[in-house]
Amino acid sequence: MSVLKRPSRRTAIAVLVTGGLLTTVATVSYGDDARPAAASMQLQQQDTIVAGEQLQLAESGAKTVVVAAVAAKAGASQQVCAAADSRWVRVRFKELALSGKDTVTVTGSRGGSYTLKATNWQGKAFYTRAFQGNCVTVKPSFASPASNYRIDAYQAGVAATVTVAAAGDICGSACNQTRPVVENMNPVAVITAGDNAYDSGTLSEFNTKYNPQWGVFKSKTYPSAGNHEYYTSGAKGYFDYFNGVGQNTGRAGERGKGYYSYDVGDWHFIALNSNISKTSTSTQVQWLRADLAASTKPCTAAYWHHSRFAAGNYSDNTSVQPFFQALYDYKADLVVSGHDHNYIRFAPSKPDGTKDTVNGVRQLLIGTGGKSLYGSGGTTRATIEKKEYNTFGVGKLTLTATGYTADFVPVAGRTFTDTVQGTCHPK
Amino acid sequence: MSRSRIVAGITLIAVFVAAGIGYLGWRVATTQSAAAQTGVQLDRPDTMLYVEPGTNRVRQVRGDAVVGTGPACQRVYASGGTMACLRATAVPMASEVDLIDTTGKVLKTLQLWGNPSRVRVSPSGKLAAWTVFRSGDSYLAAGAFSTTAGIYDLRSGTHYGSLEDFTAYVDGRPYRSVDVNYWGVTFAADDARFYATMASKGKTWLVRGDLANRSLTALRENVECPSLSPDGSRIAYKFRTGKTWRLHVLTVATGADIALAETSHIDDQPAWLADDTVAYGKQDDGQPGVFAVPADGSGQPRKLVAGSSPAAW
Repeated sequence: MSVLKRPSRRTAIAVLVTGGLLTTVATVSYGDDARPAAASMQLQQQDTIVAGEQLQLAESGAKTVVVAAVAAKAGASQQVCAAADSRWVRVRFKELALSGKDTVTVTGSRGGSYTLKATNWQGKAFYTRAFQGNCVTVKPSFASPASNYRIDAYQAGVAATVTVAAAGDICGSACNQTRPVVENMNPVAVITAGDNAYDSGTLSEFNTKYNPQWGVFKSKTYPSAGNHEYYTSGAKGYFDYFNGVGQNTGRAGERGKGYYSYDVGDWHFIALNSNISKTSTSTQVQWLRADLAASTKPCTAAYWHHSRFAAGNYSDNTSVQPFFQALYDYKADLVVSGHDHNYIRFAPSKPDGTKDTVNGVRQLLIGTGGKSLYGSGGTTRATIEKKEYNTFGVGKLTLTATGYTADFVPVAGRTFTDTVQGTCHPK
Repeated sequence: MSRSRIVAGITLIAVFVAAGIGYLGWRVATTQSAAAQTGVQLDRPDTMLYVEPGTNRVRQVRGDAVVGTGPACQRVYASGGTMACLRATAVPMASEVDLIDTTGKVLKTLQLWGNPSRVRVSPSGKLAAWTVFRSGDSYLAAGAFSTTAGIYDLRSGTHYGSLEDFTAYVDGRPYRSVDVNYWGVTFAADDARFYATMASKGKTWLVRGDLANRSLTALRENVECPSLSPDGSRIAYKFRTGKTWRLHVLTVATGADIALAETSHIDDQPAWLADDTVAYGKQDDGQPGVFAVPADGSGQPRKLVAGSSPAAW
């Protein structure tokens, strides 16, 4: 283990004892009054998925700052520091080219460390998880001269939680009641578990039914498509609404695919499409596995329309088991789904529904976004912890780097609520 | 009557002051509204509200003479200086209820999921209740419909979104079933108790509700769409026989139950015009009509106006 003598913020050269060797550390250490002009450029928080970049949504109050590119120097550790009052920092790798078993280890000045491997590079810039303290040390371990990395930005902040609103089966004649619920949460992201606009997901239905209500969250909505979207061929209305008419990519992901991932705080979020091929050998599930393998985040959530487990108008659906299997294999933590119009909180489960309190993935069925409500009747092999068939509402996910609190928040005037906490599986 | 109106007026002033609007604004609005003389004025004596066919406009009549016109609603009710207007919106299966004060100002709008069915205001004007149909349009088709009945308290702003969230008791025991439906709320004068219909598994009950405890107690079977008389002693309701309903009046204290002289099938929550008269809507040659009948089983029904949803206070 290396012993790190934390360099002062304004010192350009510090000493690092690494395995008995003295190495110089080229710091990118910016005090408030010693910052290079180029480095102080604060970025506006991105909210859309852009080609070549993994979207990173940040905690409230966090700053995203561009730094002069921190490139690899053979054998040298480097440091990136944020404002002194920052409690955490996550850095963005614009480039990460690792040959063989070469690695880059990022360590926080007040704790936390993660070693990046070749599999972490998916051909697009990404942010690491957050590390504690206001500085991180980036330490390459390169055997190959071809290995390289480049850091071009960081996020730093104080707040440790992010809030995400989640529901499916939305507009609907009661989505005017769920909209204020989402507004009250003031989430950084709104995720939808499909069937956003009834009855057929036409662009006209999105514009006239969805847009006046949940459309107010469009700039922070990360949707998934439901069967009703696919009542319009290729879910054309859905992609036209979220991506722009005729646009191939955008906030609903690539047209024809509709699955994509991004990061929210220290959570990796994956939107999946249960309306297209989803067998274990499908392009989508192969992508899912690669995406899960690449993520550096300590916590993982995924969402799609057709619930793996249900006990209402619908029962369990094995067609989406390959999703659940991949998520389980990669120690994912939460799944949000819809299709059945009710709320059921399931116990953490194996893909076959067997309760698994150690590695199980918890499914939250939140089909209560505003379309209608379905009663009980269906059967499930999974363990139901809480259920409600009579109340519209929205899931509120309060997320930290170590776990979640998931609440069901009912529409105004209704009394059913639910709350559960969970800890993210070691990954 | 006049005393309760004064009390309601004071309450409304308090509501406005609390809302930061102030007494002056209230007076100005009153003056302007009074000058127009075309709006609904709840302090006009001896008048009745109803919904006009076709336009769905609320009309205020004294005898045959229309003295005021209000908003478009499917259902209207008024009492204690508060008018409740329940209307369908442009979105299918969605409704909203406006709670409106004596000046025509909307105090509160609540969004509802379902089609308009019933609306009521408590004698004081402080509580309002509504029922919406979530599917279907007839309470006769047991199991083929569901309803939501809710209450709003203008004093505290408490929103009781659905009686489903209350605890129901039948024969002293908590009653739980996923198929329970509630409809047709009517308020007692104390602003604490109310009555409504509860239905489950093919049965209907008259339930007495307690807002403070959020509880419902089943009192009697086969009493639908109850309507408490102004003196609080009797409940007019529709009594089901096979596939039709007939208006009855039940004396709460004694359980004495009489059929009214209206023998036609009536699907409405009756409204009391006075302590001796019940009004209701029924189809009259294919058109909606407001009728009245004596509350003691005597006499004959008489047509008041073409329309529906009568309300008097």
